[in-house]
Amino acid sequence: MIINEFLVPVSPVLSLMLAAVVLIVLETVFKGERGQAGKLLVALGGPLLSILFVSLLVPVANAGSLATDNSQLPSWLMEFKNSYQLDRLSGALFLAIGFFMLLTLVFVESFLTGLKEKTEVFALLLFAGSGMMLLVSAGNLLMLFMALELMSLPTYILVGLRKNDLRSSEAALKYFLYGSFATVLLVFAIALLYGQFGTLQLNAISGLFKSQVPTGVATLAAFGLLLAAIGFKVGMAPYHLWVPDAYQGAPTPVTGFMGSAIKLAGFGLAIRVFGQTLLPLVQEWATPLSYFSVFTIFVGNLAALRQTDLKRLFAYSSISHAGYLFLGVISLGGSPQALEALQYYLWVYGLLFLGTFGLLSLVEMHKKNLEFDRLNGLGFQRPVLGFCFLLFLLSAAGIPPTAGFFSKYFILIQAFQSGQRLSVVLAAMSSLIGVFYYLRVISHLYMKSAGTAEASVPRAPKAAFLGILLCGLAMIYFSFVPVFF
Amino acid sequence: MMSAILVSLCVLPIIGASLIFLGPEKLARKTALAVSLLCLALSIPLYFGFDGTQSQIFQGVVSIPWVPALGIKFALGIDGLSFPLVLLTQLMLPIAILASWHEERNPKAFMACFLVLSSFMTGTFLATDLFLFYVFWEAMLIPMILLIGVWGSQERIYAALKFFLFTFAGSLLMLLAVVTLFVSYKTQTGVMTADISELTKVVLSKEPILFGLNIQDLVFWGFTLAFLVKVPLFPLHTWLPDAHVQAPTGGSILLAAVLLKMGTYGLLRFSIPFGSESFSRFAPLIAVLSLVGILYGAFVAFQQQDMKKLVAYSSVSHLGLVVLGICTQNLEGLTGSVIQNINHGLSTGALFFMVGFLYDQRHSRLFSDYGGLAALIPWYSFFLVLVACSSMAVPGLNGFVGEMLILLGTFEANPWWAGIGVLGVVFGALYTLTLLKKTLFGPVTANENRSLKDLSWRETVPLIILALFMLWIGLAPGFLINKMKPTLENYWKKPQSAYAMSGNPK
Repeated sequence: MIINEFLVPVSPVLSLMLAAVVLIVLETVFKGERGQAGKLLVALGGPLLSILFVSLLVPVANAGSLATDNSQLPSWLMEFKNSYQLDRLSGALFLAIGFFMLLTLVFVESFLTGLKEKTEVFALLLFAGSGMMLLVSAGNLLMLFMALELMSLPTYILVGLRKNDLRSSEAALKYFLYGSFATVLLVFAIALLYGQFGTLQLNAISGLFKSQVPTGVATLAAFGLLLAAIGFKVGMAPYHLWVPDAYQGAPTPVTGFMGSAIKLAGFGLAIRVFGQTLLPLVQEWATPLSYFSVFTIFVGNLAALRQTDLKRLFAYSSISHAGYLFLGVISLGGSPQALEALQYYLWVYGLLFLGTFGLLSLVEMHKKNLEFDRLNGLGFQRPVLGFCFLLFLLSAAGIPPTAGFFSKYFILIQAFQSGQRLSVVLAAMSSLIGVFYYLRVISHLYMKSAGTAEASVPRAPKAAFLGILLCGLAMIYFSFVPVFF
Repeated sequence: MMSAILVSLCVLPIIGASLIFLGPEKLARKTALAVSLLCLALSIPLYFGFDGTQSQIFQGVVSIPWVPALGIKFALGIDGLSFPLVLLTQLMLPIAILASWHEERNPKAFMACFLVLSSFMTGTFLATDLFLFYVFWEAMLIPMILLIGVWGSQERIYAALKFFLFTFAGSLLMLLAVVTLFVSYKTQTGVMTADISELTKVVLSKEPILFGLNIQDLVFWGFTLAFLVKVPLFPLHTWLPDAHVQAPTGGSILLAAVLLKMGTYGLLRFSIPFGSESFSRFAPLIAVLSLVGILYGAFVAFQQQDMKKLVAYSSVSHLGLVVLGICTQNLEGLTGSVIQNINHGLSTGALFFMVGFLYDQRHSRLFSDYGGLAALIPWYSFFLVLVACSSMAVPGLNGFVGEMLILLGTFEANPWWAGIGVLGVVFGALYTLTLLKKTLFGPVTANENRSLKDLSWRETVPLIILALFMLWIGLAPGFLINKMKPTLENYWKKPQSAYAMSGNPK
């Protein structure tokens, strides 16, 4: 059946793209503020439809056990000559992307008030979202590259949204230069791999590795370039230098999007490359890369200690979280539940990051900067939002009973099981450093009183309030119901 | 029945805290007190329902799957080790709440913190799943740092951060030990579990891997360091004076009476069963450290000008004695330690309560501001003398029973230790009497003190209850000891099998 074979598996991606195109058309007809409600509805409709399609498709996709083993998948889920694979991993990540998109749209609508180009922002977000979906489901190196570009190009624009703000422009330029450099590295790696193996299919390359360990300089160079490209995209040290500037300069709701959805897509890419293509060679790369991730964790945590701006603080903390996540990618080879642990971590971290940046947008709305002092007294002035922030901070620090602890624990025990003992010890010890700076934020939130009355935080718009509350409750819900286990 | 009580002790306070969060500010204190009294009332059937003749078995077992893939369950149960501490927690909670009655800054959040803390503390004692224990153990820190950091005195934020970082550092070591146990069990049996009794069957390799220590030693030290920070044992005690002095009265009471007990409880429940051979090897080292702590705590306490600091350092000294009792590895020492754990909770809790009473009225904890109170507030003075006597182990009161047994056991294990330990008891009398002399006796030095009010019913009732327990344990400790006798008698025979027969469904 033609519908079955062609449209259904890609329907989650198509619904995002369709919504974006409709938005652009709408914008040409109803310019500016007119019909804003309708435009928002269309924008929200994209991810909602996408989530609906994914939830219908997931039971089918779950038949394929792991990312590596697609033989049991119904063949019609493998689209375009295996360039697009809707397996269990992509299903789970599609859901997360759709959900993160919804929250981002709500936060953008609530907090980027006075922005003329809101519809374009919606459209760009939706395009980036479709790029992410294609990225995490790519089964072919060329597809991987195209999806990465589709995801990155709209993001560069989104970062530079505040044209008159020097910071924003700097951030956009930096992000663009670093990002395109990373893409170049990826293209070069793809070229080298194609030259070596004559195929672009991930599964085909992986099949070749099963029989022999490649030793050629070109292949090794390709691996190195792949690692660098992925490192850039997910913000691993030493490729992390763009992260703090881009996260700080971007409009705050957009930063939330970058830290949650784009990070998730980046790790989707990492899982496809390391957990699927290079998995047969896991013995060769697991240990060196685990030190790489421990290095990232330390760099992120140590640099975060010195920050005085909340956005930069969370940028560095997101670097250290990337390190933990990468530890999960490394244990894909040696531990049966590493994929579940990774999905759990990505969900939890994405929600906590989105919630935090929703809150920060609210604080920023009134006060224009995000020094720590701006939080003084917030905890008691706005009890519900303050409590949510407390949950996000505890979760980011990995303190039970919040979900952040469970996500960290699952990753660490998987890594320990896969034999990376030293790295686990170091990673766990490093979270002590992390706790210190999160506690400093908590101390501003609750333990210092606000100086003057004018320092108060405005009431949050209803939709945004609900969004933040949802993220906060998720921090508790996920710890009682560890969904992926 | 028992299971229902255990679950309610864990869950009720959290429900109470949510009610306070949603309810009006006026009712916050009353709701908190009502919930805490309800928990206290529940512990009466718990006392009578607990079968003291059974050892090596958890009673009132609850077990709900939580993360099946990793063998983690929400499992609660009670045995002779946790039984007295659970009761102590329920007893001290209403007292801490009454001591905090006058706090005007955000009373809703304040009361909610107490209830949540109580929930987590009870859970820590009741958990029979190692992972659940860790979750409660860590979660407990959150309400505690909020209590210290939000409602404390001048240097509260520093004290709160220090408290958190010290305990968290210890906890991370414990987490690594826990992970090691889980993974070793998995490699030996092929399944994951977090059940304590199952995990004691893990055989850890004896091959030295780091500085001559083998894996069992590392697991042992991972647990032990976490617990010794909490105890706190010299030289890991530096967070304690800061935390105690800065914490609000109610926080200090719970910190001293319950939180510190988790250290010694953890040693008995986890460190020793999981590393019994390592413990035998390192017991002398720990004993020496606790002797140093006993003397050091006593000397420093003697030098203090601040009442709360004096009580805080006295805790270092007293808990050193408790750890010493465990290090003797004999029945007398162990029994003494377990009793002394409770005694210290009662007497130090009461001391903090009384210091807080003065501080609420005069906003000073310095000896120089007091003196001659005996003539001004006689009832207060009466209770302070009584509590002080209990703290310095006057015969007839609870402290004597515990210290006597510990010293007996210590003498049996090593007479030299006992000789030094006795010195600690003597110095204990010295600083406690100094406390009495400088506050209660002598001439009235400050005229502001003449307007001090004596105890009202809100202070008298808790003090009478505490005093009754002090007398009861002092005169007839059997009511407590008999409930845990078999557990203690079997403890040293084979610690790792202490839970082997636990009634947990597999």
